[in-house]
Amino acid sequence: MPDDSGYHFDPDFIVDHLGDLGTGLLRTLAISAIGMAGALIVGALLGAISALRVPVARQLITVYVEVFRNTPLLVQIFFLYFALPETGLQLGGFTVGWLSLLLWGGAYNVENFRAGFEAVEGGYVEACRALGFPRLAAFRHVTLPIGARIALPSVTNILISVFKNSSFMVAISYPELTETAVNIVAVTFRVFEMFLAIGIVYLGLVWLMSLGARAVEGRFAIPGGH
Amino acid sequence: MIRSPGVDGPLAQSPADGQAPMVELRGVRKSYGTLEVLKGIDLRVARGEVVTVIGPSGGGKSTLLRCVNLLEPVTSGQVLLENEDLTVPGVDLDKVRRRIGMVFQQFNLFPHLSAIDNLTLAPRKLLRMSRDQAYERATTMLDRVGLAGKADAYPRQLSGGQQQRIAIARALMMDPYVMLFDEVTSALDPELVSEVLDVMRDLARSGMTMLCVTHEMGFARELGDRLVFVDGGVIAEQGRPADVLDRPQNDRTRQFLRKVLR
Repeated sequence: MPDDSGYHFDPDFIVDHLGDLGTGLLRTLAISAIGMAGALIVGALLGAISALRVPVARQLITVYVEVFRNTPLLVQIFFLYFALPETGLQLGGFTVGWLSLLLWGGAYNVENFRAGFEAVEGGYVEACRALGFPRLAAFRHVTLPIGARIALPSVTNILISVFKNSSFMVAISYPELTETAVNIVAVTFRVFEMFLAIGIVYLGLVWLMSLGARAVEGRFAIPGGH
Repeated sequence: MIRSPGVDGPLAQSPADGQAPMVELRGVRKSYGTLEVLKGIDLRVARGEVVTVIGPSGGGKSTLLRCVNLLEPVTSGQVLLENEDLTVPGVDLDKVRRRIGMVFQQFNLFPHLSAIDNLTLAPRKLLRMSRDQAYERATTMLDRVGLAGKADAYPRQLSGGQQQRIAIARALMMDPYVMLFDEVTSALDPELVSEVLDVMRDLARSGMTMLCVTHEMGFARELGDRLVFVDGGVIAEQGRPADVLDRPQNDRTRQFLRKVLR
């Protein structure tokens, strides 16, 4: 460690603050889990409505997607936390935490799922319709399972980003993992230990999630390739 | 591919008089924007009849086939299945399509389902057939197309010929009144064509009503009861396969046959 700067690396310091960091991590996991699950469901549902070209709903979904994909997540968080109360809707840090992540990830996943559904070869749907399946049933039995597989890699990427972006809640002082570390640093100035520690935690968890994503992709891979 | 040259197909029985045709097209027209693809098609297919449709590409033969199950809605005219007009408002086309089997050039098997699940999907979901019953029936059907051992294989693990035989079996699972074949051997490697034609031959001999768009003149000659030549959106000529193939009356038919039979 850079002794000449006068900084002495103290690993025990991390151990001393494990309790606080653990609580922060739990909050991170909680808002991420809700945000990721919500982004998955919102993405699949609205992506399907969009791919099915449901009038009006489709246009509304486009507006949602455009707004949330073309503004910074930080601005979205500020809007939910600071601007919404002006309209009488007061949301707490936890709620803004998972809700902002859900809305952000959902917008990206709508596009991922829509693109996946629209990439399904028309011939499969046609064969399904020719057997006598109504349009929605053909979507459910053919477009959904095939399109979701096509969308899967980009969807899991976004879900992992949702997890990483949970650290943006620093902006509203919601004490998740990063905010907890920042608070400890503010009092103790143990910058290196703290950010190294939470960096390793994020790295390990993202790595685990990537492994999980790859396992899911493998589990649902269509035998025979493509 | 010419098979058994010189052997004529079964005598082209005229559709039994007094009996309603299985499929009937009356003055069917189909336009895409300003492009009129079908310009008034009249066609009757009798129960058990095998009608083959030939003609140059772009002539409307695939569109004609797709109008039978109204995968393409017709612009005007009538499509009848066992005398029921399918083009009047209120007809439940999804129900009607259960009774019209269709096989495609590109097979279109559901890639995420095993062979047997491809077969059982529609009977289970649409006819509420029990799992066991559907699997039993599918096993029989796979055996019928010579693929009893491939029940658990996925489409992309199979050859084109095998996929197409499974696609035929999938359509047969619904007990169709009529089977539509849309150039089903055109996407196959040459050595795989015969295995599919063999299945179609068995089907024709079992009495299935069949409407086949094809480039297989040998199949048309051997098994077709009637040959229909479609060009420019109309039926330019039709008759017994041997008559049309050997003694075409229409100039366009003659030109077309000269090219394909060379």
